[in-house]
Amino acid sequence: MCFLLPARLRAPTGLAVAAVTAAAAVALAWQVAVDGMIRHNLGGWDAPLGIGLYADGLSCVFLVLTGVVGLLVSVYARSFFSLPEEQEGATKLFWPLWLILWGALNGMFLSADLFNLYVTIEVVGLAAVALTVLSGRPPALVAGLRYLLAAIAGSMAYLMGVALIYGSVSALDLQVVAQSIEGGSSLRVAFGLMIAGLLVKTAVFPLHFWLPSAHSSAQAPVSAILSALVVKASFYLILRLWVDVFDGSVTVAAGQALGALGAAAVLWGSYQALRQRRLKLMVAHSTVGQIGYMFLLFPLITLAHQGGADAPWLIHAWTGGIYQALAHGLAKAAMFLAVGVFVLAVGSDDREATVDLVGRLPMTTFALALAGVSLIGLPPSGGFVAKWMLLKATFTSGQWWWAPVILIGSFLTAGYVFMVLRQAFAPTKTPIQLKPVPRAMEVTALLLGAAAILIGFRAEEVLFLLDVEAPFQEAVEAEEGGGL
Amino acid sequence: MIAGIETHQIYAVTAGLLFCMSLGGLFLCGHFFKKIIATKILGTAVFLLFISLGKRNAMEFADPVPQAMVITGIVVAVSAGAFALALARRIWRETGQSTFEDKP
Amino acid sequence: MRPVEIGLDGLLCLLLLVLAWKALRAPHLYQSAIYFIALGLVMALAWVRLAAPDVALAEAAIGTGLLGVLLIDSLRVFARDSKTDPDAESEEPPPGEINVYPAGSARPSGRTLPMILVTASCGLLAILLVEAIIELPDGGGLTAAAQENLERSGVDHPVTAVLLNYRGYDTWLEVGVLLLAMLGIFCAGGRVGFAETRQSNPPGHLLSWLIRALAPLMILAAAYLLWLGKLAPGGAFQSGVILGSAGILLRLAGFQVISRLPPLAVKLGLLLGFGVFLIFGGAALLTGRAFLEYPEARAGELILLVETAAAVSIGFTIFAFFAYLNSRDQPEAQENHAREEGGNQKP
Repeated sequence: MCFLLPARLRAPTGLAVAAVTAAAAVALAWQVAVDGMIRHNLGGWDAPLGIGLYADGLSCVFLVLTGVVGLLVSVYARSFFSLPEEQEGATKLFWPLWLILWGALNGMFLSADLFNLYVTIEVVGLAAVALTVLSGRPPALVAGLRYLLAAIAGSMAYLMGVALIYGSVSALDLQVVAQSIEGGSSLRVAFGLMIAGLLVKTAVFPLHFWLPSAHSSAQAPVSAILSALVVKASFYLILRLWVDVFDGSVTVAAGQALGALGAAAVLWGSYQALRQRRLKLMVAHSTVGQIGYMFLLFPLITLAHQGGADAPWLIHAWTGGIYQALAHGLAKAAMFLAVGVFVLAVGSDDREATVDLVGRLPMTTFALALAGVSLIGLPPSGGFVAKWMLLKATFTSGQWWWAPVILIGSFLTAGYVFMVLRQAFAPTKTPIQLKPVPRAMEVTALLLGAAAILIGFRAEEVLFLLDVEAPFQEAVEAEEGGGL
Repeated sequence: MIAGIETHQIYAVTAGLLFCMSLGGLFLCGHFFKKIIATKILGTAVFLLFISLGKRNAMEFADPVPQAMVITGIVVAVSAGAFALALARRIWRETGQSTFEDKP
Repeated sequence: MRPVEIGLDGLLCLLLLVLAWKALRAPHLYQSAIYFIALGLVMALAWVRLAAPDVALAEAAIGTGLLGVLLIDSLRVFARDSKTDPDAESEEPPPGEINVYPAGSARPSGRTLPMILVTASCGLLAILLVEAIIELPDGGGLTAAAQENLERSGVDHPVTAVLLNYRGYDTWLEVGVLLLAMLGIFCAGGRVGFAETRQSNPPGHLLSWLIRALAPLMILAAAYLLWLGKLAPGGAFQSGVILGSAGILLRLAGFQVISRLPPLAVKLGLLLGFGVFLIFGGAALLTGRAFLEYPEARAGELILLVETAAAVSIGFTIFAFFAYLNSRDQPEAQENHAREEGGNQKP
């Protein structure tokens, strides 16, 4: 299974482990797709006493995303950390930390136990902070401490919720809890605390205060990991709790509230990104905005659950939300890696310094453009599928008020992406000296950018995987029966 | 009325109050050092709730499952606290900054 | 329940709240730390009242003991180092001077609005939370389930059974968290490996002799607690902490334990617990059992083996936290100077 656990390894071994882990994730996804969901009871003890691992379509989608992004970022990191400029601080600890983080992410996607999830969240948080401060530069240290304190507060709120749940149903296994939940004010408070704690970790507006500084002050491969994968992990957990555990007790109002936060994040994050002059800060703020899109999923599915499982927009909402997570993961990783190449080559991350990038770093510019296209949501990218599906769902469900948010967010995104690209395509006469950048770094950024576009074409496979024992399975069947 | 109160209820309510108090402290305290102490108290509050819920079994020994979880939690919390302290000390040494508001 | 008991518990809880309030509001960092440590000790009493002696041991040893040491040690740094006065490093301030350091708790006056907002929302949360807690049903829990399976678990103490057998996976990850925190502290310090302590005052003969005599006894006590964990409160964590504090004492007395060890041995010490769990879990998978499943007949011995490895690692890591933080001051300051000088030469 996927617990290839990390030891103190250096780049080549680290890379080998990365490849094996990614392959294991794909293999597991394949097995789930063929055989259906898998459950493994650790230590041979069944719930409620023991801890179970559980793989269904939803967890596999996230496992595979982590595998693909993780492998490519590992290749990039190998070149990145062998550069003489990036040797300061404790950078030789990158590999053990990154592999622990990866292992914990996989553990989180597979865990079926509320307390075990807390432990994995904590591992993910600590490893992410350690990676942030890897360079030892003061801005990164301050950002890291802010991130750490926010993460601890978030996980404690989550754990408080777990305590209340254990107090009311005496179980920790997700499925057992889901079956024995009845409602009542203590469960509502527990649910609120857990979701609030996780919202801090997902950096949803207005709890995003720690994200831009942390993601922009980390080193390039680390930024990519944080933005593409780490925030997705807590999003996954919110989604899991929302649809699997608290399915019966969530209200339309709660869904609308989460959607409103998401909408505010889309507008605020994208607007802030437009205002930034430093490229890394721009990309980091753009993460806040793009995360907002994922949260538009909640009002849509909640309304669908209230109105019976066969609401026709449910499938669109799900596809949109999950696709947003996937496309953003790939595109944002590509963007951070490309910006990393650019900063190395030019020695600055000022937006204005991208002059004539296209002539000098064509591959990186192309990667940046592809990632940008996906973030904006232009066809035929993965981002387009996501935003189109979300739009479709908002109209068919009658919640039209989310639609302008999606569109305005796209325009703002287009604004900052094109601002960079215009500069990149502007010719300049003054020759600028560029430092040579390892080819592998450019190629991996481009591959991720291309993947963000290509998943737009392969929606069926992803949907098929999601379909396995998925919480919205009935809806998919209804859709298929209705002859799409 | 007083006779109806059980030990665990008193502690559980205390845990709730401690939780909110330290959460407020986390936001309002300026110095890194006090913020770290606030996160520690936050953790203690959560553990207190777990154990007081474990005591509801009315046996001489509290429910072992929350006990084990709390021991795990204490170790995790201390690890996180030690890491946070190390970071705060490094920041202080490098920049002389001891709150998030300071500009180095 | 007897009114006396209610009075006692009420008093204890009131004390907890007051101490927490004081720790958060004390004007000086030093007072904050002391109130916090006092809070931890009162909390240990509360655990005993709640019939959770294992937690009391862990809280007193790790939560308050170790963290208290680290907090006080950090105070030394926060109080002494100062950007404006680089020479302050070389001089040890008189102990009373720590109190003088302003805590940074004096807030700028423009922050009243956020303060009111935060206080109000915390108050609201408190009402909701207390209501939720009171509404929780009586009874429940997994005591019965844990007791029922005790025979098959290989140990006689239910908490150890949960930690090492039923929920061994959590414990494994938790040993991983310790390792991870150590790596994080390395990152925060910017240096991998340990330096020697700065000798402020070399230990006297008596102290040195006392600690020499005490260390083996502590190791013995750790081994006893570890073994005891099978039957009664005790086990890997408590025993690990005693090992760790033996190391801390030795170091305080001036024995350069960790910096003289070869780096490989340090790494092995940190990794041992995590590694043994992993090897054992993998072996269980290979022999057709579930990950981390113990064969029923030999569970007792295997648990003891895993616990020993975990205890050694826990003790070692805890000691390493302290050793690293305690020794970092001087060499790093020198590095900084070197870096600044290097930077100055370049242009």
